Amino acid sequence: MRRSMFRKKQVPTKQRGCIMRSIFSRKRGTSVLIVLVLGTLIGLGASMSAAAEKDTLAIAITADPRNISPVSASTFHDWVVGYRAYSSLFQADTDFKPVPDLAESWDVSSDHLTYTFHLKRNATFHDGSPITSEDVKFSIEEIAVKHGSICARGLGTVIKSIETPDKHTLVVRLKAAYPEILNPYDGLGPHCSACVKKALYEGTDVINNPHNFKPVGSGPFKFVEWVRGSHIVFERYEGYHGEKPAIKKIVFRIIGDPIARAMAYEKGEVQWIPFEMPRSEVARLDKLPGNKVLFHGSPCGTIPTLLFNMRKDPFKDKAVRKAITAGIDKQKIVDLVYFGGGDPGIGHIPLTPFSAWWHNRDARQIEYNPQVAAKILDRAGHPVKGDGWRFRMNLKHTTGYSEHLKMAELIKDDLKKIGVDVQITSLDHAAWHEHVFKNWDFDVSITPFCGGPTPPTLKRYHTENIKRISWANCTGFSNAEYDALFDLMISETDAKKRLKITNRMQELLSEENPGTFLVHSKNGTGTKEGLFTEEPKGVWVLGYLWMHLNRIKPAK
Amino acid sequence: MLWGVDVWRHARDTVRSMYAYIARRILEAIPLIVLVLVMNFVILHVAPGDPVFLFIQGGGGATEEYVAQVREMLGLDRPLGEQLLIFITNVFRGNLGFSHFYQRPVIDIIAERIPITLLLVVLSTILAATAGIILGVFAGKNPYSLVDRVNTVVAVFGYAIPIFWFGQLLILAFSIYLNILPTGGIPSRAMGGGSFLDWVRHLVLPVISLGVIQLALTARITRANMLEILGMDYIDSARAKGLKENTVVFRHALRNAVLPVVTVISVNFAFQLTGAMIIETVFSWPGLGRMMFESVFRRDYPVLMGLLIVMSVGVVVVNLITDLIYAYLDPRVVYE
Repeated sequence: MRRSMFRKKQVPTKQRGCIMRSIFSRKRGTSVLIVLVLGTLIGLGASMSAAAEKDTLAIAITADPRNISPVSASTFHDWVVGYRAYSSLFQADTDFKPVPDLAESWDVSSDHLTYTFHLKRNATFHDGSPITSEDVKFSIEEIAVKHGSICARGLGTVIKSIETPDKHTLVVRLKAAYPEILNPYDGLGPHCSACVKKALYEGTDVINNPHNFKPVGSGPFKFVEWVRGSHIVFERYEGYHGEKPAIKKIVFRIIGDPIARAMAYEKGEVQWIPFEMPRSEVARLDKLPGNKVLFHGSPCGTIPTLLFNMRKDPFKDKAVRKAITAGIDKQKIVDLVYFGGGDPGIGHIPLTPFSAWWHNRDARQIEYNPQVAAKILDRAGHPVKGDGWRFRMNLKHTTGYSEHLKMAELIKDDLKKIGVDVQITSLDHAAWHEHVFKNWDFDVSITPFCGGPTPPTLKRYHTENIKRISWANCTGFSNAEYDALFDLMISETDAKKRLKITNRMQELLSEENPGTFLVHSKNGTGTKEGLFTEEPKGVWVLGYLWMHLNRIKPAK
Repeated sequence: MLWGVDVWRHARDTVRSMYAYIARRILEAIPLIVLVLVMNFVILHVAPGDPVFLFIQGGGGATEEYVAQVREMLGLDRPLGEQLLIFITNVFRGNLGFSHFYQRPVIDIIAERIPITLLLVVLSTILAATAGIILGVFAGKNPYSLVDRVNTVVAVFGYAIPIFWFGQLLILAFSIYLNILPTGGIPSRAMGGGSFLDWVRHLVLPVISLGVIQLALTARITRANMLEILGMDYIDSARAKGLKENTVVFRHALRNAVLPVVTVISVNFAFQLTGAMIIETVFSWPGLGRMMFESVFRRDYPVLMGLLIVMSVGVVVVNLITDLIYAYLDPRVVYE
């Protein structure tokens, strides 16, 4: 029967019936069906990938933002997603200097207490209504200062008043000079002046306003859709007042699992993973053609720090703290835990493009040397006892960061060599916060502090910051010289004097050793070659929240 | 006519007793669900971790007054007993609370995600159970044959392999190397997809990953039951009567063999929901499982309690449906 299918001569009817039955026999039919299904899937897959690449930028992030609004924006995801839709007075250039956004120019008074911003006249919200100085004033006073974490603790404390003499002029008056006011992170950049429409928020419950989730924004991209846990879609706003982006659409894919994220990037389903590329994948993926994966410093300069609870013995003694610091091999942590993506910690401020101007290379903690560490402990009155240990200490860490357990284990091994018995307690993130920041119930804790990007973050170790609040000064470190220097620095406008003060503050932190600065960690960012119009450098490599994604061109 | 009346009366009595049975089961389930909620409420609130701290974040800039304000907003400044009473009262009014993390009513958040999880869990259960039953039937009918050996390998493999790792292997094979399926996520028209075929493509790998344990269990139990049933006298009688082999196997033997399988599928449903948490994370599906995982991390109490209610009710409903299916399959089972 099968042979007859391939003969050219006329086949009799009876044979034709047998042929049809044989063609559509169960086994053959099943095989044909499988081939058809696979072919459809392959064809559909290829065509969909091609369509997705042309005019859409897909970015992978690990979690949903809280909302798409400056209201309560306090995490990386809130900023990297939310700020796509908003304009602010200025954004950042590649050197992290302010460039005009809503404000086309600004004037500064000689006493640095009055800043006058001249707004663009053609700026509109996504519903077409004009952006006025009243909207900007409302956004600063009622949104950023009251509900934005960065602004509330920084610039918000020094704003005296904001005036709007006309629809396109904004005058900001300060109680005291604030050198960071024109800094895109700490100043009147996106954190403090992301512009919302006053008419939609005034008189409402700002925190629960529905426009936090379906924004009527002011930036280069307009909100389209948010499926929580899956994706967020923005499209280009054709009425944008600035340079229009080349890409038509941005899709944020929410991919929590690090391996799934790396695989989506490898396949090309996402073209950009800002900051959250799994470190173990950086080297491998960078070698694949078409990829550019790199380690780089983060804006806030994350530095995992082994904090001491200085209220407890033996950590009240500076010598003990120094000895523990000298007993930890930080290079090993960089190599084994961070896959080389970082540098051994030397001080509180890591070297990043943002902090390079005030990073004090001479403010170094004691170097790794277990013999010196042992001698210091002997002199400090902690000899090795009969059980083989000098003393015990409990190290608490959060499981919210996968590196911390590995670091804890390496620290345990290192300190064992100098006779310190470390017991590790792993806590889930919420419990860790409660133990360390609320109850101060710890001996030492690995804590991912930010060391930057600007000097006001030095407030972390100020006496006034000894509070039972997340990320506050839980060590109990209190130094009168440090506090006085901080109070001077915060309003010092002379750059040289300011630098001298911050240098001394960094020296104090390294000398007093409230924590062992373990690693100046770097983050992994994955991009595709050809994605940018120019080679990413400096701040640009991050493509982060302080700059609109105007320079992204679709991959060819 | 008398015979017709008898049939009608029997049908009426059966339907009445079925409704009475269902109503009784629902009433019995209510105190059980309340007990589950109370226990979980207490455990969640007693466990270490202050949701206020996680809500605020803020880089250490918050003041103690603001912390107190947030605590009051979240309703956590009240005594635990009062919080529990408010919660249960609200539940009976249909209000599952408000999530201050999502800044939306809990019922809206859950309603948004239920279809996604149900799609995954129900589809994987049906496909895995069907495939498992078919494999088990052929394995039981042909013991120690090639089919039987395949059945054993599938069962052992399916039960032993961690599903998150299996999911990642599938992604590696079909998405990265073969490039025929997506790595994860759900399609959407806003992203340029959203067609029926697009949904099928996105479902293939997560459904297979989630269903592998169900497949293994079902195949194994069906095979064991079929071996036992096919050795019974009534099967010999059926064959002796001259019935076709397919009729003997599928109509007479399978109907009895599948009863324990229905129980296993029902019991496994709760585990499928747990498995969905893992699969939704691996494949980035925005379902209830992943939301539960994230809410535990965040200590989002209202969402967690809302999810527990939904899952408890789900388990009760599935058990009820299982009993009804039992009665349908086995005429000896009556509603009482």
